[in-house]
Amino acid sequence: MKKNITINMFGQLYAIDEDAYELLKNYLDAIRQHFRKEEGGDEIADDIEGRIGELFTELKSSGVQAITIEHVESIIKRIGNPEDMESPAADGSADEATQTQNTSSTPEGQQQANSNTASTSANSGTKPNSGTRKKYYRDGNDKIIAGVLSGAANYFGGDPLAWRLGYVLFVVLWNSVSNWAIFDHFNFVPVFSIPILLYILLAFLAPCAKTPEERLKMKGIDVTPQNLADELAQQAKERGDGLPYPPKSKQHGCLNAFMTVMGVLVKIMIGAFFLFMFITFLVVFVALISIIFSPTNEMPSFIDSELIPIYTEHPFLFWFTGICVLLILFIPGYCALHSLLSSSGKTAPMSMSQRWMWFGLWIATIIAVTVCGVNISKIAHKHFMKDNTFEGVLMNNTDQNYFKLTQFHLKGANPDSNDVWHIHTEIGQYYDDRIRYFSAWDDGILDYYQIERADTFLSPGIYRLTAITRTDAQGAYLYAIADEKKLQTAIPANGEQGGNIWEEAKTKLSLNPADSLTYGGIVASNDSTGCGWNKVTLDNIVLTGNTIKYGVSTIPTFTNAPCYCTWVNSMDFLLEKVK
Amino acid sequence: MNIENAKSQMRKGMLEYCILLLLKHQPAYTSDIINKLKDADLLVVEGTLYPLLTRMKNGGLLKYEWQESTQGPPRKYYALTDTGSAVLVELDKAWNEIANTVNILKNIT
Repeated sequence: MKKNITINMFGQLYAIDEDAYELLKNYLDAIRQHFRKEEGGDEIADDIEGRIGELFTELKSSGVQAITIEHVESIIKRIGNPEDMESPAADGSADEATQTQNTSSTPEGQQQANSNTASTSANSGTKPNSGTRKKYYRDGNDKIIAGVLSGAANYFGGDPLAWRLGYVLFVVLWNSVSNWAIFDHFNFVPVFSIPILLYILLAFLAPCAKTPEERLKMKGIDVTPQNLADELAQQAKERGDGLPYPPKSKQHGCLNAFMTVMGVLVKIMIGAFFLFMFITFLVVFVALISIIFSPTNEMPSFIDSELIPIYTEHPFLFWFTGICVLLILFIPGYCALHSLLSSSGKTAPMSMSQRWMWFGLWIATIIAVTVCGVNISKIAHKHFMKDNTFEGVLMNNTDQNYFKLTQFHLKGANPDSNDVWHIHTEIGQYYDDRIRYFSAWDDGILDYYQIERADTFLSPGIYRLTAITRTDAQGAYLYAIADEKKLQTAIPANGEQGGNIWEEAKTKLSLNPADSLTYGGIVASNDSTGCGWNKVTLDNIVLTGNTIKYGVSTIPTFTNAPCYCTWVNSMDFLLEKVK
Repeated sequence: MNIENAKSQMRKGMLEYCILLLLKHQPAYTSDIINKLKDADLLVVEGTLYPLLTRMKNGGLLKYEWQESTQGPPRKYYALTDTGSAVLVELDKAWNEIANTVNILKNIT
């Protein structure tokens, strides 16, 4: 049973099978296309169409109720392929090329005309003509995701299944290869995903072979009416069998099932990816909208606070980047939606120029966002540095607050160490791990560190300075300057073990075990070996004026002693008036 | 040398001349021209004829009028123009020369 339609040719009505009509339409389109360039081309095409009408009329009067695809095929053979229709032009000489071209196809035409029409699907037109250039198409009839690989199999030859397995292997291998050090230079691209990106790109940019004409081009077969007829017949046969794929891929049942499952999984992943993109899009969109409509025109609280200075200082950059980010998310989503709609026949598929336009726009927005992102991160870095610098040294807010609270200042710091938190404050290694202390360390020798506090409005007298400190080698000093006279004492280099505080606690605890609340923790610390903390005292600081400056230094020019230590910790500075 | 090739070139070269000959005495429908040429084994595919007729018409050699058909659409009824007749005379001469040359060449041995 076949669907039948009625066509009108020059006022005459003919009943024709649908597949026959499709073939006829393709044929007439090919003819019009062929003669389009020629003067009077439309007239020629009309004449041929008229001739077909004439032949249809003959068929009708010979008792044919409905024109079938076989009728159309035989008529096409009678009238010939457009390529065969060249004839000596008036000037003659320019025709040499077409003539030689004709002669190659004319014998074939005869041969085909002689062969049995009914057996067309047997030889199925798969005579790849050397003169035809294959075109890359995705194979819409044999696809698991988008038909990219079956298209490749058609284009380069080979079995689609082999291509699919090869591709999966390629993705896996690529993932291991992408860990190689050479790709470190390209880390702005997610290297691991390049094969997947290639697939997506081809799925988007390469056209899908849907019409018989495109399928012939995909297979590299000449687009001639005969071949079109064969392709149509083959498709009709496949549809009749109810097979989703051409029978040849059915041979590998098990592997094919595996590929199908993989395809479903990948489709789910793609779906999840698009969902993620959609949610991201919504979040960015809502954020941008809420900025516009917020009464104070300020950033809503859920936006990263690092973006606030960008927004207030560079609104154009902010908006431009925001819109580009939206586009980056929107374009693939839109195109995916469009392709979904077009594959279900609700809209026409995108033209190539549209595809390239979207693709170009997408690439442009990616470049724009990359460039803007670099600038934004530079600005953000500038702000970050401003917020996290204390007296010329990179320092986080906790450390800064500790300095401010204890009224200490940085007198010495390595200017080169700005990128590392060399000078900071810590908690955790004192006996009570809630107590914060000053800390400084270096990969090499810490011979540049000095912190200092100045106590002013003191009354003259004799003072004593104590501090709790530790260091790993000679060179760190506790100092005090009163009346421009410097006193200093070396910090004992116990490293991270022992120390006089631990010794004292041990002694006190052995004398009076009841004091374990005070001393037990200290004694037991660091597996009962102590943490190296020493109480250091500077006595007899004589002050006649009103200011004493004191602190810790490792700078040899200041301490007049070589420095070998690599780290210093200090805390609990206490300046007492003794007399 | 491809014989089919040579034969088809010969046929193609003669086609215009033969069309003029066919229309020399009376006008004809396109389908008549096709049938006669096919009978003479000058035409492999019908489609070849249509561009040729249009070109000859555009070149002023042929003219046509539409004739109503009892069944089917109206058809083109082709006839020679004066120019066509003149060209035919010229081609006759040319053909005789060619035929002469070929005969001479044939009888040389």
